[in-house]
Amino acid sequence: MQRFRSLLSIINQRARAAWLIIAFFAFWQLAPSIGLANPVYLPPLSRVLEEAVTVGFGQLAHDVLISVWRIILGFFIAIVAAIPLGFVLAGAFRWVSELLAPLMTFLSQIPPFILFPVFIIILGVGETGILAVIIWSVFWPTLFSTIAGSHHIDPLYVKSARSMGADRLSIFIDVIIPSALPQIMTGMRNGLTLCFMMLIGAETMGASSGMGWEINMAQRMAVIPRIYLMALIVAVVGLLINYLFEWLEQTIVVWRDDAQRELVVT
Amino acid sequence: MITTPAILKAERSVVDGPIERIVIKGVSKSFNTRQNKGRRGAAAQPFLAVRDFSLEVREGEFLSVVGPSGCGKSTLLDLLAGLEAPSGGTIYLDGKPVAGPNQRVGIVLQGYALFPWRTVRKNIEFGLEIKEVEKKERLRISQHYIELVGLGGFEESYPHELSGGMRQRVAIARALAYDPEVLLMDEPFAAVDAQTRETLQEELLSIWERTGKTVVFITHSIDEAIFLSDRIAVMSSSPGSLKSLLEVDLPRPRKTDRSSVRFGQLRHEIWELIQQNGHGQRQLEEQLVIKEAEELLVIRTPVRA
Ligand SMILES: Nc1ncnc2c1ncn2[C@@H]1O[C@H](COP(=O)(O)OP(=O)(O)OP(=O)(O)O)[C@@H](O)[C@H]1O
Ligand SMILES: [Mg+2]
Repeated sequence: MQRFRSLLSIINQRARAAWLIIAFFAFWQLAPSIGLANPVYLPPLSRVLEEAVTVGFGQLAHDVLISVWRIILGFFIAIVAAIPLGFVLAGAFRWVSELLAPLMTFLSQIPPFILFPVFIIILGVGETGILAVIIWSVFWPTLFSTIAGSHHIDPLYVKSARSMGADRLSIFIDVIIPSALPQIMTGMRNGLTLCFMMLIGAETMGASSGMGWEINMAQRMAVIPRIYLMALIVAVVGLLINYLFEWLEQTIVVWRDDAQRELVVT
Repeated sequence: MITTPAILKAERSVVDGPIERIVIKGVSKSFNTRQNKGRRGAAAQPFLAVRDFSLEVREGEFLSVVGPSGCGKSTLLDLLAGLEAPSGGTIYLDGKPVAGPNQRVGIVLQGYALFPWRTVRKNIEFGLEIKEVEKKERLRISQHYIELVGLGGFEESYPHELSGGMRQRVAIARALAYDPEVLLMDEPFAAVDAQTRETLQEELLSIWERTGKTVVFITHSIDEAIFLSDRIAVMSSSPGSLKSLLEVDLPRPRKTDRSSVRFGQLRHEIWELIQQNGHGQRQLEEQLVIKEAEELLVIRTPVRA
């Protein structure tokens, strides 16, 4: 009974959320038509969707794919650099990481977006600058979560592995990595969310393709429906990336449930 | 007729007869603790957790260790497992000094210490992976121990999906799987309810009888110690040392012995020993241990009467 009720409430919540979105779009469609908003600044939803045909689906798909590809590439480079470095700093050179902690925290506070002009000066206009923004966005949260994750390992697990004759290497592979993984994944997810926003910004400033670039073009030509169209697409792509990563996280960190439950209990 | 208890003084070693598997010779362990934690320049103060501890564990015997909380039982087990090095004295396993952790000794640590990221099967196979046993053989062995501890059907479950008693079984199976000659267990049944505890005790005894391993078993429950053991080592605290060694002269198998007269005598005897044990601050903790045992007794009496 209890379960049934909680299931009902979940369905109810989901349905309510869906209704809200539908209501939002309906309002968007209606508001300009009934004079609640100026159709020039807020074109009705149908007009915004029509704009997709004008731009062309091929062009839109190209924009999305280019942006997604940049994220994949930058994200990959960032984690490949940050995770091993995090483990090295946390394990082998703990004092170095303690020494560098304030500096790293300071650096990580600089929004990558602001650094973009600097990147352009150093790296030149084009892909490298954009990649640098993504890498910067993902690198710091991943590095910090790797260091924190490997500092917070339950010594009981290490002891348990040692008692079964595990050497340092297998302790690292079989205990340290899986122990730190949930926290690392959280850091990666934060980096991903951040880098997506930064990417769109960077693309509006210095790119010749991608979703951000499309927004920039629409702005320059003052095609207002296109700006809204791109905003919609950016939101949907962002959501999808987030869901995809969440799914990946749940598939990899199957045991995470445990830690969370314990956190709730204590 | 009341027989006099068979108390062996700690200093008196078992010279002839049974073969000694582990010889603990004058072992002490001190930890460097810092007084006034966090303050700069505070002197490192060595804390003596175990002092001049000597004991022989016989081949194939079931030996329990009881004593007040903080008396150094877990520390002693860590030393036996080679997880910590003694500050003084030596521990011999089959005549050779223990230099570090090795697979001839298996340990079930206090708390389950199962790897949450591994399934039941993968937890049990951990020691075998370290041993570089090939996959097929690993599977065969882990299946054997999964069934031995009655966890068939839960091979692919994760620890967080199991009850406390089931996790405990996994921990035991994991320590047994790489076939150590000596099994060390640190309060393995502390976190399960009384009924599960009795079931696990009986299962442990039957595993022990079948495998013939040497077991060193730490517990807070006097009844548990008597029910399981050949001998019981009573420790005293501050610093931890061996107070006395009792022979449990109850016949095996012991399925129904918990209410026998001899059982009661032994129980009383150990209580007395633990009671003499403490001074001042420790007294309170020992009272708690005794209370816990008394509660067990109260729960059991009407059932057995
Ligand atoms: N790594 C350590 N550093 C400093 N002190 C320690 C360390 N390990 C244990 N001690 C101290 O040694 C003493 C004995 O600890 P131990 O864990 O062996 O007790 P125990 O008999 O197992 O207690 P319990 O019954 O509560 O499990 C305690 O006073 C504890 O504070
Ligand atoms: Mg202990």
